[in-house]
Amino acid sequence: LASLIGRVRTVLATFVIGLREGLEASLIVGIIAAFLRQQGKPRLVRQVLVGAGCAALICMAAGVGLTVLNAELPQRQQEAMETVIGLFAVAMVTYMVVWMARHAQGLKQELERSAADALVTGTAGALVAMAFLAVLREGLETVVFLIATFNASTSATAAAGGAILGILVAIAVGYGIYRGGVRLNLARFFRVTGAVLVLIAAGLLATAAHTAHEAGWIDVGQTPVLDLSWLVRPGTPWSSLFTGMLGIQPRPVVLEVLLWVFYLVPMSAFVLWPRHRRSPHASAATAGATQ
Amino acid sequence: VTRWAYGLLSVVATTSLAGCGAPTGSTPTEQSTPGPHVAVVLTDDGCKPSETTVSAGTVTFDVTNTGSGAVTELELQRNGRILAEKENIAPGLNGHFSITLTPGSYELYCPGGSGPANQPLTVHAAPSTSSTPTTAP
Repeated sequence: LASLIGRVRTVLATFVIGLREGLEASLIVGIIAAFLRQQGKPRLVRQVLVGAGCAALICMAAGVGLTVLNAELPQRQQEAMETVIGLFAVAMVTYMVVWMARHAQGLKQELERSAADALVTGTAGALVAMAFLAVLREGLETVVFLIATFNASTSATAAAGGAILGILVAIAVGYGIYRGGVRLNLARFFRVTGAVLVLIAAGLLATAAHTAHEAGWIDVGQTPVLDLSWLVRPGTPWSSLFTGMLGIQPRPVVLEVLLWVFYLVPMSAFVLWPRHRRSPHASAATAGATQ
Repeated sequence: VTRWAYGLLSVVATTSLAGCGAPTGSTPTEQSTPGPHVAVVLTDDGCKPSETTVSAGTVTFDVTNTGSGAVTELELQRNGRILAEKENIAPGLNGHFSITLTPGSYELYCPGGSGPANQPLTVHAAPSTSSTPTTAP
């Protein structure tokens, strides 16, 4: 019985890590795919998936290469890459939020629709690149972790099984976000995702601050200010969701909290403020103005 | 279709290569790295190094996890600056990293546990004669 409990614990421990690493990538891919699908671009959705798949293959090849060469993952460079891609993701998501807030008003207008088409076509390359980079960002670390579970000293099957299960659940969550996002009608999609995206982007920014510190780029503001370990209990699936999706660390430091707040507050105000004041009247007026 | 075929191929390649690498990869690395070794055990409380003092030079940290998964990473810090780290060491996994250290005070940082996350590590000047490497148990 003790060995069974040990095995279940191993599965849970590697599941939690696989889930967290996987979520950080699948979340962004799912949102971008849903966004493009909502814009009536199924071809671009396919490109997003191909891009994500290519990144996964590159990561697998690199992970296998590291194992064959018996080399360690260069942790600093990995963290540096995560920081740069993370900041790019913040810029991209911010752009999406601003764009959606501006276009939420006149969605039913055919005119708006074609303007939206033009805009999306213009940034499609960047969105596809973002999906590719999001997988590249977390993929290498995930593959290295996965290979490490194959080499686990005790119950390697349980360790690898847990990790694979975690990654699969993360992919399922990403797919769920895509399906859920597609099912919402366009106006709702913009409203719901606008608020959620601001939260996610704030988390991405805090995570970028975290990885920048680990890359050795930033040493200021590293005093822990909050103890959220009661909420984000390390080693639980719950903590994977919080850290993987919302970028919330168990013990955030000054810099992370400050960046999180300074991004979240004005951006939420921007997304939510006009919505309260807008009446059918106002949107009719705006729609009239665009024609 | 060809892309999926490549995908499948590389998955097969990954698993088979990782399988082949397992017996040859894990133990010899730890012995082949010259210089002192510090074994660090991650537990649910935090972490415990085998040595609290080590001589300057290239030091290898061999990390294992005997906990249940609350603590899964080890950082080597000096004055709050991260010098090296190893992440995602789940229970039963092991990992290692090597770094060249000059004499001074360092800290091992293992967040997530119920006990203190910091463990002090002192690096003293290496003897001028051939240094005697301390081998990890």
